[in-house]
Amino acid sequence: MITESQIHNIIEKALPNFDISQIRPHIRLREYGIDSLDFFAIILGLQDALGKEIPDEDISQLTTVESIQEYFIKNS
Amino acid sequence: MTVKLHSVASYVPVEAIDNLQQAGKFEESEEFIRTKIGAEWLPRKRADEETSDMAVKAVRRLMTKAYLKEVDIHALILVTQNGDGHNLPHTSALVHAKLGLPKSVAVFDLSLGCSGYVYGLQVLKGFMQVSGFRNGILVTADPYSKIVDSSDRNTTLLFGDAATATLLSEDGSWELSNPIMGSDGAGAGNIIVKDGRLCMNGRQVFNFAVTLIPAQIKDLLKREGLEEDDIDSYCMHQGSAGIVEAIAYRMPRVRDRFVTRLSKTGNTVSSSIPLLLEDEIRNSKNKSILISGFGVGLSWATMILRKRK
Repeated sequence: MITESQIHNIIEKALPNFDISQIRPHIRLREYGIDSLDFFAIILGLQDALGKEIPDEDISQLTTVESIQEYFIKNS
Repeated sequence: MTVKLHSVASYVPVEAIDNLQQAGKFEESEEFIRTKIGAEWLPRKRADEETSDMAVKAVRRLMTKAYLKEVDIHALILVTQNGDGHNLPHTSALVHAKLGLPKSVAVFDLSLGCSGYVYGLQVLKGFMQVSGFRNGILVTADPYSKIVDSSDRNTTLLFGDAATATLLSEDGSWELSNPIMGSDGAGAGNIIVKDGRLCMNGRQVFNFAVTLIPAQIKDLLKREGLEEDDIDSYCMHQGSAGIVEAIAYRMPRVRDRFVTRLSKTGNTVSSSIPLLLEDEIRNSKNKSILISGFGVGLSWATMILRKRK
């Protein structure tokens, strides 16, 4: 389980210059200008929170804050 | 006998791909290229120019710079995984012939990618010390244009061609620490050539570099009895601007000491660190420089250079 606020904290830590207040749970992170390298950094933070590696084949599921929460419910 | 780093020279082909233009093909923004990839130009060797030709040009420039004659050279190691032809004979033999070096000179290739420069320094230093050689040259020339698929966005926006030559000598000024080195062959598939085409898992390479390298830097500093701010310049392998920035971000006290300089070269594999050193060792403010290479293998190595005279 992971809260929306925890995900925001992970994104802020990974991308210190990013304005987290604009994020909406159902909007794809890519829409906010988060590129592939930014996303790799966010995934590192998510892995720390999950306590295990997120396989390459699962990455495409993690597109929005909501989908990240769903992933954590299934995989925690 | 103590072997030290004396000088560095380079050869960067004049022809280059406009990476901002190339990015348009993949619908990547100019900002992404400038801030995350970091390379606006990707040098390309001419079609008729071989790896050995690039190596020879770098060595010639080094010989001019260091007032070195062919008879003064006792050993030459070439770091490459994209040598001439089919890699047999070893490309360093062809470099030996093209330079007209004496038959007494020991030459061999070292098959490593982005960690190759740091490994190569340690190998050449040890080889020279046990053999009693006064002068040895470490060459890097690994033109990825031979293996990059121009339709693959994961690689074609990153790599440039270049060669460098570094003189190790009894008369050098920069002492080389023992490096920390490592390997993880289980990750070999993350940067690999398949059917003649370079394939790279960008995410896994990013993870590996960003999690492992800051820890290794800290381990080496501790072993050498140094603090982070005892190092004047941190020269990482220039995998991409984003990777260097992500590593620097994990060392906030010295973040501004990390050098990012790949705008005109791109990721030049084992040549990226010596391309930085060519400038960094000329900067009189720099007394201690930390270098770290990581990539193909997976393989990594980190070393400290200290000016002694």
